[in-house]
Parts: sequence; C-alpha cells; structure tokens
Amino acid sequence: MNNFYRAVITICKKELFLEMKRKETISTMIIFSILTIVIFSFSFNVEQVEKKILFSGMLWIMIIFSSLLGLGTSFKKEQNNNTLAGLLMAPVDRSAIFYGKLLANMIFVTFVELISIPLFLIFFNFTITENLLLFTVFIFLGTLGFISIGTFLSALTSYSRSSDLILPVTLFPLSTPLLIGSVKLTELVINSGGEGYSPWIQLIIVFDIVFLIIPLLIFEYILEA
Amino acid sequence: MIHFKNLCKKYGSKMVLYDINLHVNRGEFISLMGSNGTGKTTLLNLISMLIAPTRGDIIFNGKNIKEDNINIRKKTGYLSHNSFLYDHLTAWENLKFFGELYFVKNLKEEIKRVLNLVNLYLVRDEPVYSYSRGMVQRLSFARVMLHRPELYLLDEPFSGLDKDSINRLYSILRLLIKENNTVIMATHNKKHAHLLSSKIWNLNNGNIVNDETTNINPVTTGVDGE
Amino acid sequence: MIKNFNNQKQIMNIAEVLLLAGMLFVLYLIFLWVPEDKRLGIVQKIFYFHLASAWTAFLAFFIVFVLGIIYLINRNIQIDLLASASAEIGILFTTLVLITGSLWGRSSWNVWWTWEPRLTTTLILWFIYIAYFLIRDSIEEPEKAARISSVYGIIGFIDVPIVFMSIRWWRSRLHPVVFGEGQGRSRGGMDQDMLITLLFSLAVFTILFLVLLHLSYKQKIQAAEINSIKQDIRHQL
Repeated sequence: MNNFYRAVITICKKELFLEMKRKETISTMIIFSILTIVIFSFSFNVEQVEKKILFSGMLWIMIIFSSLLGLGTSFKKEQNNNTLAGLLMAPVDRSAIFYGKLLANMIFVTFVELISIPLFLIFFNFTITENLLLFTVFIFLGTLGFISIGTFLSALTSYSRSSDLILPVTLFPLSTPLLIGSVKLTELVINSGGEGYSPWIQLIIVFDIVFLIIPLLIFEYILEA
Repeated sequence: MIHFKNLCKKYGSKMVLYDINLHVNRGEFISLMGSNGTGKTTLLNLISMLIAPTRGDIIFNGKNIKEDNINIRKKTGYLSHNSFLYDHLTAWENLKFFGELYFVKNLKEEIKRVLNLVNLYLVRDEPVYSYSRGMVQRLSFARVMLHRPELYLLDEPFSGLDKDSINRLYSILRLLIKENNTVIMATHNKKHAHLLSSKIWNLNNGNIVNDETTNINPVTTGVDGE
Repeated sequence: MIKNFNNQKQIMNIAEVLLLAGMLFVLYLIFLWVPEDKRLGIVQKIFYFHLASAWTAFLAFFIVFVLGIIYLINRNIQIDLLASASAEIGILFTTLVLITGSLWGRSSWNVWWTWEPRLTTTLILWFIYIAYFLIRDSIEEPEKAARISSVYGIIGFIDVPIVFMSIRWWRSRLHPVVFGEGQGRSRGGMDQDMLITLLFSLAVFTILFLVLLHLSYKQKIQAAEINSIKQDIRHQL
C-alpha cells in the first residue's frame, strides 16, 4: 500500500513537472475560462437580468468546459513514444496511474479555478461574503466528482480514433447527477437560503465516492495495450 | 526461469502465436528470429504483461504471471521499439521518474551508473527531443537497466543504430550476459543473433519452428569477431 | 448459454410462434378487452406500450452490465457481441419510450416534451447508450473495442440510479404530479383488468426482446465471421 501511494505521488509529480515545462494545458484552460465569461456577457445581457438566477449555471458551465480541455489531453499525451506502456509496466497496481492523473488534474483545475472564479465574480460584479467557506467546499466537491469521472473516461476514450469528440459525449450524460447537484448547491449558497442543502450534498458525495472507488476495481481493464 | 505453456494469442480471428511450449533457463540469451508479423513483438508483449494471452500460461520462477504480476514486472525490463520516454523531460528527469516508479534505492548513484554505461552522462540535462535516434535508443536501454531486472526483453535493439552505437550496445549486452542475466531479444538480423545468443528460436506462422543452439560463447565474441 | 443459443433452434421457433400469438392476444387485451380509462380516455392505452418498452430497455441495459462483467472475466468475444446486441435493442426501446412519452405528454399536458423525472432519465439513458456505440465503433481492434465497451457498459449502468435520483429531486418541487399510474383511478392503485393487461404486455415485450436479441446476436456473429474471412483474404492477396 505504501508503494501504491508512492507511485501515485510519482505520477502526479511527473504530470505537474511536464506541465511546468510546457504550460500548455493550464494556460489554455485559463484563457478559455475568461473567454467563456465574455461570451456569457454577450449572450445573456447580464446587466439587466437578475444575476442570481443565472450565476450558478454560468459558473459551472465555465468550470466544466475549461476542465474538459485538461481532461482531453490527460491520457492522450501518453501516446507519444507509447509512454503509457512504460507506466503500465511499473510494478504497482495499475490504478495508481489513474489516481496519479486524477490528483494532477485536480491540481490543474483547482489552480485554474483560483483564477477564473474570482475573475468571474469581478466581471459580473458579484460578491460572496456570507457562506464563502461553504461555497468553496461545494465547488471543491463538485470539481472532484467531475474530475474523477472525467479522468476515468479520458483513459477509456484514449484508445478511440476520435477521442476528442467522444469524451464530451460520454462525460456529459454520465455526470448529469453531479451537474444538477453542484448547480443547485451553488444556487442555494448564493441565495443564502441555507436550507435544503442536505439531499444535494448527499448526492454529490455519493457520486464522488462511487467514481473514486470504481476505478480501483476496473481501471486495470481499460489499460491493456 | 520462464516456461511457456500452450501459449496462444489471437488478434480478432488471426492467430498470431499458436501453442507455444518452451523453456528459458536463467542466464540464457535467446534470439527470436522471424520475418515481420510473425509474432516476435507479441511474444515479448505477452511476457511483459502488456497484453494478455488468449489461452495458455507463462510461468516465471515457478509463479504464474497472472497471479504474481506486480513482483514479476519488477524483475522485467523491456526495450520496446517505442522508447517510453517523455520528449520534454531531460535524460536525468526521465530516469528519475522511472527510478521512482520502480522504487529504486540509491537512485542518484544508479542513474549515474546507467548513464555512464550508455555514455550519456554529459548530456543528461538536455531534453530528449534534442537527441538523435541512437541516443534515444541508448537512453531507453539505460531506463531498462535502471531497476536491475533479471529478465531483459529487447525488441530489435539494433534497428536504426550506427556502427558506434551498435558496438556500445554489444559491450553492454556482454556485460549483462557476464552478470548471468537472462535476455530474450527479437531481431531479424542473423549476424547479431549468432554473435550474441546461446539459443535461437525461429518464429514462423505463429509457432517456433526450430530451436537451435549456437556454439558461440557470446561473452568472448564481439561484433567484429575481435 | 451461448451454445444453447446456437443449437436449440426449435426453442427459438417455439418462441417465435409464442411471440406472434402473444402479440395478437395483447393487442386484443389492450384495444378490445380492457376498459378505457375514465379520465384519460383512449390515449391511456399507450401506457401499456410505454411502460413495457421502458421495462424492456432497462432489462436490455442490465444485461449489457452483467455481460460486461462476464466478458472482463472470461474474454469470450461472443459474450461481447451479445452485449452489444442487447445495447442496440435497448436503444431501440428507449427511443420508443421517448416517443410514446412524448405522445402521452401531448395529450395530457398539451406539450410534446416535459422534463418529467422518468422521461428525462430515459433521455439521459438514451445518450449514455448512444455513446456506448460511439466509443465502440471508434476503436478498430475487436478485442479492444469489446474491453472498452464492457467497462463503459458497467459504469453506465451503475450511473443510472444516481441519474434517476438526481433528476427526481431536481424536478420534485416543480412537478409534484407523478406521471403514468395513479391518475384517474381509485386510490388502491390500478384497476385489476388494467394490471392484467399490463402484465401480459410486459411478458410479450420480454419475449419480443429475447427473439430480437437472438436475431441480432446471430447477425453479429455472422458479421464477425465475414469480417475475419475478408481479413484472411486480404492477407493472402
């Protein structure tokens, strides 16, 4: 188990290291997030519409679409020189590859969110003073679930000829519960109703747990060369 | 050391390997010969557990690789025709990553050791994409040797190399033989096979057609018959 | 199971005859025998098709799930062909659920589409299994495609109850009315005649499913054989 943990960290470190050298994924994700904000302001006339109604949905659309960019390359980039086979031969349980990638993707997306969400609030002239902690926790739980299933599907679709097309088509329907739950929770926090959190929190936690544990059991089957 | 029992591999309806029953002893250097598409790489992929057999078993040190695969992966080093290296990392960073993945102890010294063996120590901080074909091949070899495997699987190690690199690889291979390692090498070059190996397996139509023993002592014979 | 499938032609012939008789009988039950719903009128009869299609689709996807697990264990490519046949029929019946649901909605609420929990879940289900074929068809090697679609079929099915729960909670405050049963009937549930008709309908749809599954499976096996023969010829040229 200790070796497993070390391998997860090693793989995650490698991902971060590669990203530090290339800076492609994160910078694209940030630029894309800002672009989404601009597109929203064009499409929804946010000056006049009651912002509270749209806010939560727009925020999650931004997060999801920018995350998708990072998820798409997560396993695809191991195809050059077939480095994936190199990882597969490592003397650890193969799900370590999944968790290493998951951890790295989570760090990337959290980093992007730390920039894009404040920008989102600034551009739409929105402040969250109460419940900031809850807001953060909900964003984190939602992101975790999305990245878990996204990383899994990124591996699953990496063998396909047209993985860039297929990842979103598989990811969106399967993550419906998560999207519904996250949007609802964020909406509740902003409107500071303070009530009705619990079913949604349960939903998201169940989703997170399911898609954090399933890979442990079946990830090995995805990655046979 | 390794035992193949009724090993079969099918791709779709195509039988690539058919009913292979063979034995590899410790310290043997085996050359897998055969033209393209006869299943040399498939056999190596099966041993390295990158793919699963359709039928049959591979027994490694008395254990079925299906059951004890993590320990066996630790003892195997595979030089594939893909380098498995990250182009944007340097030689040192690549080896550090793989060393950590194999839990190599005294990693720094070990990296130095293998880089010196393949004569890449001086360019250790250059990214791999700046390397020539021969340098990449040598670095892959360093990656394979880093965790000191007992079994080396080499897929066409000499392809695309100039004479200098080939000579260097020969000396490394002779070192491996001297240390009583086991090597299975796929090649279509008769000369290399005869100069290095203690046994030659000819693959044809998915089966090993003959199993000849060479009389050459690979330790003392060099590429130029020195 | 596979062997039985191949060899026992008589059973299939019996099943086909049974299916034909059953279909005629159920049509008689639905359109002539069972009384019309007092409040909803004749359109309520679509319910027997709607619910039976939903049951069949669910059964089909459950079979995809189970066969996915079996395939990953024994790697028999025929198991995977059977799973893909089942997924295909599942999509067919999911489409029927959506169409009949839409017709129902048109007559009950005067809208072609309503974001009612079960109907929405069915729509998501439709997307999930359409993606099953998108992945499958985009991978060339049959073994790889089989492995990947088995894994996908497993997670897809595990996701379904979570999707259903989330959508039910999502809609619950806006549309408290439950779709389908319970409307315009006495409080103890359905009328007994209606229940009998429904059960027969479910049985006939299940037989229909099995017959279709068998046909589709046979067709897929033959397609795979033709493909391999083609490949052999290509190799020899």
